[in-house]
Amino acid sequence: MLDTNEKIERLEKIIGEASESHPHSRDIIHAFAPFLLEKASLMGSLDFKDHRTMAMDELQFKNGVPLLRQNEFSPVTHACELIAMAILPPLETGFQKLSTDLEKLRAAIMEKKIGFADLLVSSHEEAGGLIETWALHEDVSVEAVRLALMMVAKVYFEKTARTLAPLIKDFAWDKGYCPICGSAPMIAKIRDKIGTRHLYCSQCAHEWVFSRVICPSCGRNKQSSMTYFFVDDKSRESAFVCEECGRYLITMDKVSDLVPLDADISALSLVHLDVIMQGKGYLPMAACAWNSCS
Amino acid sequence: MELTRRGFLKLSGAVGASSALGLNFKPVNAYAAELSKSNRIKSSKQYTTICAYCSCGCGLICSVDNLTGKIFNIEGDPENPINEGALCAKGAGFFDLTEANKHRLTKVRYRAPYSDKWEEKDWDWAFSRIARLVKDTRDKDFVTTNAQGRLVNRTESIAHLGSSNIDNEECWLISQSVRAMGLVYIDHQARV
Amino acid sequence: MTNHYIDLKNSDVILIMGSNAAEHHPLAFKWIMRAKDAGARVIHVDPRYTRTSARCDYHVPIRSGTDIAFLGGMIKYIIEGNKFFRDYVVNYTNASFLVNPDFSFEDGLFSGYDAQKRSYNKETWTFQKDGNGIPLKDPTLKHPQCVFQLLKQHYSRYTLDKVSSITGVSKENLLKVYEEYSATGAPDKAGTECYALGWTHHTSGSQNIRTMSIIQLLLGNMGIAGGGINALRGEPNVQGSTDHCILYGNLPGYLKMPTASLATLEQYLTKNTPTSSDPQSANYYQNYPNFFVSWLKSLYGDAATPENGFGYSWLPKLEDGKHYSQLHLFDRMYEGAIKGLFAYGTDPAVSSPNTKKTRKALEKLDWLVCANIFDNETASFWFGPGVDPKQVKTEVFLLPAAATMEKEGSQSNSGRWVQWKYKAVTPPGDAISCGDIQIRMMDAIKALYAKEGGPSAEPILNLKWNYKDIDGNMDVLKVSKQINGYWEADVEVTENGAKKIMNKGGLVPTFGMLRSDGTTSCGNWIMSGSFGADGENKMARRGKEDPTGLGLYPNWSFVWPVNRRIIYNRASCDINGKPYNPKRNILEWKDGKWVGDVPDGPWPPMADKEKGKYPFIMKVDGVASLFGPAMAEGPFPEHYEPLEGPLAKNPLSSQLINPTIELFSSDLDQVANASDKFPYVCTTYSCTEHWCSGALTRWQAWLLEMQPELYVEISEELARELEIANGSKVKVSSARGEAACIAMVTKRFKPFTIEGRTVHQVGLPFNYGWLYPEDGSDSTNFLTPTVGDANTFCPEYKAFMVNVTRR
Repeated sequence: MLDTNEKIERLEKIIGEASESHPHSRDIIHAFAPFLLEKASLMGSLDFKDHRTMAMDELQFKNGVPLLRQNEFSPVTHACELIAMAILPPLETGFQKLSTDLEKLRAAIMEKKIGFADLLVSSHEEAGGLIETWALHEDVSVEAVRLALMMVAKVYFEKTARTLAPLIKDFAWDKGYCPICGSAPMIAKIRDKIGTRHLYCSQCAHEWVFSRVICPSCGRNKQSSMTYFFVDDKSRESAFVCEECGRYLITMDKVSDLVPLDADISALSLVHLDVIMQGKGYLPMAACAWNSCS
Repeated sequence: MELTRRGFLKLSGAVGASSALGLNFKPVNAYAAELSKSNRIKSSKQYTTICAYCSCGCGLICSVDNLTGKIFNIEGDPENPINEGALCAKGAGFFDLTEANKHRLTKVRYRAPYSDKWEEKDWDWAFSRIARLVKDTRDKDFVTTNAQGRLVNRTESIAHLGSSNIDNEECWLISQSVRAMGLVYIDHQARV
Repeated sequence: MTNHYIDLKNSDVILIMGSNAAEHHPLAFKWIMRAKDAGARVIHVDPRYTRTSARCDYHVPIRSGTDIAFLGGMIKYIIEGNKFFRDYVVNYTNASFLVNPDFSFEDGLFSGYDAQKRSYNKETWTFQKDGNGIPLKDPTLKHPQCVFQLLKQHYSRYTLDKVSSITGVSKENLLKVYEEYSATGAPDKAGTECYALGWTHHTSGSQNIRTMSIIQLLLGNMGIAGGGINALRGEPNVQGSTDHCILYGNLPGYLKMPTASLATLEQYLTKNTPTSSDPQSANYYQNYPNFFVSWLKSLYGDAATPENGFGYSWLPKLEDGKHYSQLHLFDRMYEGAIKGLFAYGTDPAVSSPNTKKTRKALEKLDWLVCANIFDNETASFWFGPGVDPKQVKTEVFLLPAAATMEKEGSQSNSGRWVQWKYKAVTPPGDAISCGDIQIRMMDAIKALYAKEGGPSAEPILNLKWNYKDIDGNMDVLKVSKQINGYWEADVEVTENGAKKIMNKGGLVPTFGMLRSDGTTSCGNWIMSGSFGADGENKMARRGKEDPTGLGLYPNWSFVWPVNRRIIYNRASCDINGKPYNPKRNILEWKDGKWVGDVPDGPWPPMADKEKGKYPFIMKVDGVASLFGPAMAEGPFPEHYEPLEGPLAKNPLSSQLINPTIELFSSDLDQVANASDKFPYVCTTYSCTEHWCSGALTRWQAWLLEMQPELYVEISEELARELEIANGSKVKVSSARGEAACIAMVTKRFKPFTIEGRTVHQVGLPFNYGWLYPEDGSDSTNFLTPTVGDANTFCPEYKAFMVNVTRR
C-alpha cells in the first residue's frame, strides 16, 4: 500500500500524463487538479471511524437498498467544515472566475454563517432554496455555492465510503447504482485479461463490479440495444450507450491493473466523449460538474 | 428498483452548466466537432456466445464493428460462472474462427464425378441437385419390409454423420428430418 | 456428468482417470485446482505423465486398457476392508436384492453366453421376486445370493498381486489410491471421478465407467455435491447433439428407436414402458408414452392422429439386434452398400478408426454432402494421398457453414447446462448455418416428393417443417419452442389443487404435463421447461445468485432435467431427508417440502412408507444398480484385454477379449495380438492447442505454430533400445497402417512390468491430416482398429499394438 504522500505523487504524475495525452482537456483537468490533490491528502488525514458503527442489513442489501439508505445518516458538521476549509483554497486556484466568491464563502463558513452539513441531508428542493438564500445573503454566485457544496460532498462521501466499504465486501450486489450511497456511476472500467466491468460512483467514488451486458441505468439486458462509441484509433476510450433508456456511461476498456488510474482524471480526460454523446442526444448516467456542458 | 433518494444523493443534479464555472470548453468542443466532422466516431456492439471446442461451456464476448459488421475482438465472458472470463489457448484464439481467417469457406463447392477440381455453385443449384440425388437414391433402395416381411420403412443406403459442433436447434432439426427420410445409419461424434 | 463443472470444487478427493483434464479441459481443471486449494486430494491415474499429473498430488502410471482390473481391485478393497457406506448401500442400491439362483459366473463368462452370436441370453440376470412382484431383499447383506455377496465374490479374484501384474501399477501405488479414495465412504466426504475419452475409447469403455459407478455407490458418492461420475466430454455441444440423438439407436430425449419386431405403437410402448409393483418406486419412465407420443406430434404435427397411431408406422424400424454406428456405417460403405453420405461438422477421414478403410469406403460413395466452416480431409478425400481423382466417381458438395458466433441458438455443456448464444455477425460470403442448410435442403426434398411422389412419401410430406422466419431463414426460437413443447388443444389440468385451462398454442411448462393422447407436442421431453409458460427463454438467463454457496447457480441458463443441477440429489440425504453432509447441503426435506436444488421428484423421502419414494426415480426399482443387467457383457464388469494387447492370455480367465464385442472382418480389418511384429502398446490423445481431428485448429496460424506436426512419445528406455534419438524421424506401424512422425523421447512414459515381463507403451496425438498444413502429417488413425465397445461402439483408440522404427 502506498502512503498518502506516495498517492499524491502518483496522482500528480497521472495528471501530468493525462494533460499530455488529452491536450484538449488540459484546462479542465488543471481546474480540478488542485482540488483533487487536496482530496487525496484529506483521504489520508480525515478520520471517520465513528461511521464503522453503522449497521449492515443483509436482507435489505440483497433487496437493493444501499448501505447509507439503511441507516439514519447525519453528517458531522465539524468534518464538513474541516473539508470546506481545506478544499476551498484549491478550488479558488482552479476556478479563477469564481475565486472571489469562493473566498467569501470560506469567510462565511469560518464565521459559522453557513452549515454545509445541513445541506447534505436536506431534500433536493430544500437544498436548491438554501443555496439561493446563501448566495443572496453572502452576495456570491449560485454556481460558487453549488461547486463548493458538491466538492465538499464528494470528499465527505468518498471518505465515508472508504470507511464503510469493509461492511459490504462479502455481499453480492448486482445493481447499477452504488451499493454504499445509491448514486449513479460516473465512469466504468473494463479490465484487460479477465474483462470485468467496474463502475465508479459519481458521488462517493466507490468501485463495484457490474454485468457487461446489462444497462446500469435501466437494468435492461438487450444486447443488440447496447452500443459502445469510440474514436476510431482509441477504442479503449469509449462511451457505453443503452438505446432502451438513452443514457451513456464513459468507459475505459482493457485497462491493465498495472497502469495507475484515477477515475476523476480519466473522466475529465474523456470529456470530449461527453460532448459527442450529448450531441447525439444521450444523457449521462450521472451529472457531474464537468459533463453538464451543453 | 426506483430509489426514493434523499437530498444528499441528488446534490449532483443541482450543479448548473459547467460553463458558468469558468471551465474552458473551447478546445474540447473543437476536438469533438472535428472528430464528428471527419467521421472518426465509430461504434461497436458486444454479444455473448459459448466456446466451440470442449464441453466446458465457457462464455465469450464478441465485439462487432457496427460499420463493417465484422468481429474485431473476442474475449472471455467474465460473468459466465464456469470460466469467469478465463480461456484456454484455443478459446483465446477464437478470433481465428471468424472470417478474418482466410481459409473460411464462403462459397458452395462442387466436385463432379471423376473431376479433379472444385467448381463454385450457388445454393439453389446445390439444393435442387442434392434433393434429386437423395430422392433417386432413396426411391431406388427404399426398404419397405424386411426379410421376415415386417414393415420397416427405412433408407439403408443413405447415412448421416454430425455434428456435436452445431447448436441444439440445428441438431434437433437434423434428428427430425433424417427420421422422416427413413435413415438408420445416423451417428455423430458422441462415439468418436 | 451427473454433476457439473463448478461442482468439482466441492470434492474432497478427485480421481482423474481416463482424462488429461489440465490440457483438454483447462477451465474444468480450474475447478479441480479450486478443490485442491481448499484441501482436496487430487490423484491422476494415466498411462502417461501429463500436465494434469504435474498439478495433482501424485500420478500413477497404468497400462492402457486395464482400468477395470485397477478399479475391480478397489471394489475388493472397499468391501473386504468394510470401507463402504452401509446406510447408503442398503437403502439406495440393489445390494440387498436376491439374484436368480441360476445366475452364474465362470472363467470369465456369465450365464447365458452364446458364442456364435457373441452375446448373452440375459434370462438369468434377474432378481427373485415375492408374490407381488417386488424383488426379495436381505437388508443384512448376508444372504449368499444377494447382490452384495455376489459382488464381493466376483471381485475377490482381483487381488493386489493379480491387479498389479495386469495393470503394471505397483502394489504400493494401488494401496495408496485405494486407501485415499475409499476414505470418501464417510458420510461427510465427497469423492468424484473425472473421465474423458481415456475411458470411453476401449472395447470395455462402458464397463470402465460402470465399475467406477459401483465404487461411487459403495462409497455413497452419487447424488451429492462434490461427487458423481463426471464425463468431461470433448465437444462443445456433444451433450446436446446426444440429447437430441443424432444417433441410430435413440430418438430425441433418449427415446428408443423402434425395431422391426415392434409393429404397432401399442407394442412399442408396452416394450419400452417399465412397470414396477413396488409402490415406493416412482418408476418415472412409466411416463414414457407421454414423452413418445408428444415427440411423434412434434415430428408429424397435425398429420399425427390417434387413428394412425400418431404416424408410428412411418418411422424407420431398425433390424432387431443390429447396429448402425459409425463403425458399421463405414463397414457397410466399404462393402458398397451406402451410396450417399451427409457429413456435417465432422471429419471422419481423419477421426474414424482404420483410416485406410474409411478413405477407401468414401471412394465407393455416389455422393457426399459436407457442411463445414473449413475444408477438411473428408470433403477433399478424392484428391488425397494415393487417390487418383479420375478414378473416383463420387459427386461431392462442400457447403460453407456459419461458425458458432454467426448464429443464435443454444449449446449444452457436459454438466447439462443449456446456454444461449447470440448472433454477433452474419456468416461470410454465401455461408449459412447448418440449420438453414437442413431446412432448405429438406424443403427441396419435400417439394420433389410433392411433385413426383415415391415410396413412403408420407413421412417426408408430413414432416412438420415450419421453422422459418418471414425472410425465409431459420427462426431459432420457433425451433427451440417446439423442442420445449406446445399444447395442441385446450386442456384442463390440476395445478396445486386448482383446476386450470391450458390453451392450445401455449408452451408446455414442464414434461410432467406431457400427454399421450396427442394434446401435447414436444420435440425433446428432457428440454421441456426450457421456456417458461410466459415465454421466458430460461436458457438465456444470466442470474448469478448462488443461494447454497456450492456453485449451483440456479438462475444461470437452464439445466435439464427441470433445472436440476445435481442429478440423483435425493440420495444426498438419509431416508428421512436430512443431508448426510450438512456442510454441503444441496437438498433437505424441511417442513414437508424439499429445499435446495430441484429435487428428483416432489415426493417425500423414502422413510415415509405411504407417500415416500426411493431416490433413483429413473430406475424401475427406484434404487441404483450395483447389479446392472442392462450391460452387454454382464451385470458385473470383468477385465478383458483390449482387442490388440501384449498378452496371449488374460491373467483372470480364459476369455482374452470382451466376449460380446462385434468383430469386423473386411480385408482391411487386420488384427495382431501379442505379436512380435507389433510389440508396443499404443494410445492416442489430443493437446491443448488442437481440437479433435484438428479440422478447425490446424487452419489457425497461432495454434498450428504451437503444435505443428505429428509426434510419437516414447520412453527413454525404449528409445535407447531402438537407438532412436529425440527429434528424429520415425515410423509407427500397426497391422492396419502406418504413421510417419517425429520421435519425442520423454520421461513421461515409463516401461511397465506386465505378467513378469517388460512392456513398453507409446502414444501419439490424433490431431493431424494431410490437407493442411500442406507439408504436415497425416492421420494417426491409420494405426487404430475398427472395433468398438459392445454397448456403445465407441472405437478402441486408446489401446492397440504398434511397432516403432527409424526412417
